[in-house]
Amino acid sequence: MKAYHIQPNEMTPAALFEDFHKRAWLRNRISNALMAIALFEVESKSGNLSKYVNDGLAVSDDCSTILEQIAQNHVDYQYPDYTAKVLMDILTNRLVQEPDRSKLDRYREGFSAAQKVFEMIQKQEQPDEEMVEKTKQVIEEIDSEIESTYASEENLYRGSFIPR
Amino acid sequence: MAPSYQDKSNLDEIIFSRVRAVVLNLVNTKERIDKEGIKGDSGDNLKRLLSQTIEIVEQQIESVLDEIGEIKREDVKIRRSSRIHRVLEEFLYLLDLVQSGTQQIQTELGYLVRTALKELQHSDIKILIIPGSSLSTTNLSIGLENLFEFFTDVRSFIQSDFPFYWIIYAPPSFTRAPLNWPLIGHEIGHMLERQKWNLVKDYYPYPIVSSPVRLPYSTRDTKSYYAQEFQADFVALTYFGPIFARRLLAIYYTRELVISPTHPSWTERFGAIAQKLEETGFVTEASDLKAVSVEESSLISRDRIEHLSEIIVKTAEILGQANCDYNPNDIEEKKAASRLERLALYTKDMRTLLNVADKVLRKKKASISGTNAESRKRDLESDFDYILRDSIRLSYVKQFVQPAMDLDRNSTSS
Repeated sequence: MKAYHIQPNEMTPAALFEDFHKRAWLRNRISNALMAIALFEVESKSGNLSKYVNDGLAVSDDCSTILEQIAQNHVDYQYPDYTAKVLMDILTNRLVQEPDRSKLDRYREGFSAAQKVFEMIQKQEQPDEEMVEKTKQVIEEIDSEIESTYASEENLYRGSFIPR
Repeated sequence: MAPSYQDKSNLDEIIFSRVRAVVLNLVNTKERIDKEGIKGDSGDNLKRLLSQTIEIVEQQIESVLDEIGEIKREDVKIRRSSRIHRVLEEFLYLLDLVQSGTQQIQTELGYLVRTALKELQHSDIKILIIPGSSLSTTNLSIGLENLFEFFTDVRSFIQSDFPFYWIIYAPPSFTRAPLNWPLIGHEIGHMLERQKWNLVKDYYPYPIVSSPVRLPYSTRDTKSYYAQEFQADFVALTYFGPIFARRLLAIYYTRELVISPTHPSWTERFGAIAQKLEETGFVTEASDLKAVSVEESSLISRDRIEHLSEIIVKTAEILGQANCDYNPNDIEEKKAASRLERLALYTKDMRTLLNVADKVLRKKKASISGTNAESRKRDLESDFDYILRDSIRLSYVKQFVQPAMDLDRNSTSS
């Protein structure tokens, strides 16, 4: 892959800080996406619902586009944003292997369903139950994968800036 | 598999109680911060940023919990509460780090940075200096915005009141040696570019991933990173003078400088610094830098950053307008040298102090020989650290604190 993988020991504390908080941002938006589905199901009047739906749609759009690009050409991939870096890490076990094709296909299918689900919720339409489950599954899987992929670096403030 | 809980209302109770407990910890921490304050430059602003963030979290947490109580899906409840708890816990760690970290930073370093920002006519820039493994800078405000993604009022507050709040990470070998402090000029250069100037951005947009862990071979992004580094070196050298170059050289061989693909090679950085030194008449320092045999290669060479010279010219113009180029004054330098040779304080100008101190210390160390030479040199270095810190403190008081006190006294008496 035509990218330089900066090792944790090459990262300054400032870079680690940014990386950690970007990851928190991504996981927070994923959490919002799940809340959007759960709150819509109970016809919640929460003032945050529209924001959560927008976040869900944005996450799904971003992930769909990125996964499509990776599927087409992962060798020359240009990493347009942080989400792209995270998805590539998950698919390649942090660049130690070629992208896992079965995961890639599953995620593409899942986020394609998620786009439709969030679009429908945005329009106050009832999405198909199977699609909702597929959406929930893919979002939860990505969240868990992020947690396990970066488990060793989730200790920014815990006494050390050097990843374990 | 997520744990299951039969009684939904009891599950809510357990979750709410844990989240409220961490919020209570935050509130207690806020009280501690309000009482004890935060040491260092812009401490009062930082206190406001952190205290108000906690207040908003305290106000919003019940509606966040209400949402959890409303939903039926148990696994989503658990995921959501774990996310919220994690965010609040990380913020608690940050608060502890800020409180303990700022205690370890010499007050005089803050005075030097504050003086530099005033002289560069950007005294509104807010900075937090805390210990870290290498000298580097980032925007705390963006970090907090990302961390508090689902506390919308926190985000709005930070965006409106504190869009920029810089963290400078500084290693102990830097903070404890005042002669190295001019190296912070490079970080000041980055802050000015990002918050005030955007000169590099006009030619090479900042990469979307501001501090990457995966650097694509994108020539445009690399040009942007490199141009920012050359510009930051230029700012530091223009403001602090040749001491910046001498201290870079002093720490180069011990690899205290980060060598990263987001930075140009030291061969090229030293080359650019030497060129500026020659242009401003510091020929000896220029040839010292040129004598260093470094053969690192950059992803792209300096010549390929086609707009770099325009960026540097514009940067020089802005610095010139602020009238803050380091222009050595022979008489002042002699005065400073004479005082420092006698281990006396010099409080007229911090930049003259640091530039002259470096030379005097080297000269004095070179003259020490014979029995216990190394131990005497160490003692001398230690004495110089104290003299520099005291001089910087008094210089700051004379320049900024005393005039304000006089003004206050005059207005009271009239």
